[in-house]
Amino acid sequence: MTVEIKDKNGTAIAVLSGDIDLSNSPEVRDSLVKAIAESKNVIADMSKVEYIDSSCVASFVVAFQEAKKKNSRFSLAAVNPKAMRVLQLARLDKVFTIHNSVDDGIE
Amino acid sequence: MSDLDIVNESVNHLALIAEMNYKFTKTRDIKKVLQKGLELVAAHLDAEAASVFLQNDDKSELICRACTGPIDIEGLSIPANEKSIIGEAVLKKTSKLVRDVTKDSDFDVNVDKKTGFVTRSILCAPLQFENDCIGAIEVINKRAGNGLFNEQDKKLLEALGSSAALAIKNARMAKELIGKEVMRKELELAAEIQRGLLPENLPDDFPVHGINVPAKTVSGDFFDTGELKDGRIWFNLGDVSGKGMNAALLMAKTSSLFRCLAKTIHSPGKLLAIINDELCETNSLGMFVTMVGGFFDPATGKVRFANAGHEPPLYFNSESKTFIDFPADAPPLGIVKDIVGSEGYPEEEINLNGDSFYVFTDGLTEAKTNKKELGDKGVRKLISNISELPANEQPKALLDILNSTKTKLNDDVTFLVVNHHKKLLSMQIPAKAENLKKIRTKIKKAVEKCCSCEKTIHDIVLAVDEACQNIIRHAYKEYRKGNDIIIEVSQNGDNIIVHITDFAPAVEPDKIVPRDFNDIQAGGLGTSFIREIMDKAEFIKPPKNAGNLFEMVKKVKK
Repeated sequence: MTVEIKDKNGTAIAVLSGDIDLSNSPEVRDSLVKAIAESKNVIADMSKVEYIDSSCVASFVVAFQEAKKKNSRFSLAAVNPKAMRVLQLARLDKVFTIHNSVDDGIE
Repeated sequence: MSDLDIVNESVNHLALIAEMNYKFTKTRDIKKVLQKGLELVAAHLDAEAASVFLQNDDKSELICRACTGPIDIEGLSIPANEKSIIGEAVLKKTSKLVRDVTKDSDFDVNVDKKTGFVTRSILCAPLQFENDCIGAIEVINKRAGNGLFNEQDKKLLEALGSSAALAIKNARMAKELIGKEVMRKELELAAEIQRGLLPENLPDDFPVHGINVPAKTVSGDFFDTGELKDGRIWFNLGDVSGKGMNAALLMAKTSSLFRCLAKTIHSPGKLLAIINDELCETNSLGMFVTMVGGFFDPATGKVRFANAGHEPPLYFNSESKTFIDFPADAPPLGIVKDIVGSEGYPEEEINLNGDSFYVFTDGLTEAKTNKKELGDKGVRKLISNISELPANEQPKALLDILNSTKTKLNDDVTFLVVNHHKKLLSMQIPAKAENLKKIRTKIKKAVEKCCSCEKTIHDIVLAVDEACQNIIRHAYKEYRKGNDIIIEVSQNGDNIIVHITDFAPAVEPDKIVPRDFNDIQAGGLGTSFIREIMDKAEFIKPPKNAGNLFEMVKKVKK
């Protein structure tokens, strides 16, 4: 998938869409890591994401760790119930910062 | 008698009692006990004659079981009334000393006249222990001294009588217990034989499951099932007339015959005909067997069976909630040879189409709840209540319902279910990450056929996705042409079963370790997801040419 990176007030918004599984999670991971290298605040916009699996979660974990290293912020926004379930299964729903909407994450 | 003499005599008496007790405890033979004891008593009391009389079974007579002396009266029986000294001793439970018969008006001289024996002194004591009197011991004519018995003698005889009574009681009890024990052991053995013939350790997803509940120790019912090399399953359920060891042996024979013949004869009608002829040839006790026997093909869902005089089996359509019954068109096995001719017993065939076929004995139909028989209606109601469960859970569920409604079983109950797992999906696809979406779509469609809970559907899709990922990443490592995955989804009751087969080198199950949730390393979460979502997830024996077969099972709500 092509990850679109939008910039809003200094925050990088990575717009993800469709299903994120083993076939495209490496791309997602790489895009997020790149965005984190270039911005102090990165939000993954999940509003158009329908399905995620463990490989997607793994990509998020990499991004999360990368942000920590760089002292930047990385969060998720607009996660639908199905995706939320997967984050819960991974016990990361309380570890990641998850906003209800992208706007909540910017400020 | 001087005091010293009395003491001496008492000591001697005690010694005798001790010796008698010892002899009594050593032998279980009542007759020997009595004879030996009597001889010792007679010797010790220096009596010319002695006898022991024991009550008969209905306590109406007293029969001489042992005697010593010049006249042999063994076997002599006298009525158990007070007219005789012996009778009086037994009824009144007290000893009697007739020191000098010439001075006793009760004494009947006529017996002496007949036997030619002259009675002078009689001492009689009851054989009693703890208020239970079983007879009496009598000694006649003391040889020493003045030929008359005394009070000391009476006391001794009373003590000996007690001892003897206890010994006889014990010997009798021992005999009874042994008899009971022998019978009990025989029944136990028969039950063991019967249990050994019931099928054991059927895997949960085997299409046939059953239960046998005997009314007493040994059941005349049985059922059996097994798999043929080509994957078809044979099954049978039968009811032997009669009970006990004979029924168990006939059952064992019939069951073994079916099991052996089913390997080569695949027409249930002909199979039953062969068994019928065989039983008729060697059956001598007029016993017979009712039976339903058949073959089930899991691949097509078809059941082909024959019914020899048995309670009609039932097919239950879970969609329309209706039953079809199959009454027997032929009599039970073992009655008349060659009764059906060369075509064999009439056969029926039905396509289960994802549903189940039930066979049971009339012990179930005749079970009583609140004094009312279950009957056909009751049995059908029971079956419709349990039919949603996976086959392996149905027999136990049936039993639980019977127990909870306090249903009384008068006869053995045997119950068997043949269940066709509905196949919801079967696909083969190259093990590439790009194909995961296609897999997810198909799985979703399959699960939706029998589950309406969105969360469960999504969970199962996720679990299958993760399992396939594991194969793509770890089993195959590098995609090459021909590296395929086969996914099959089927339904067994309210269980959804997913089988994922790959052709990679066999994996060692202990190398599959689910990651700890606290260990949030990239990758590897998949196995944890699977184990959390599914009820069961494990590698099972793969088919011949495959590499690995991973099975996942989840109970779903409709």
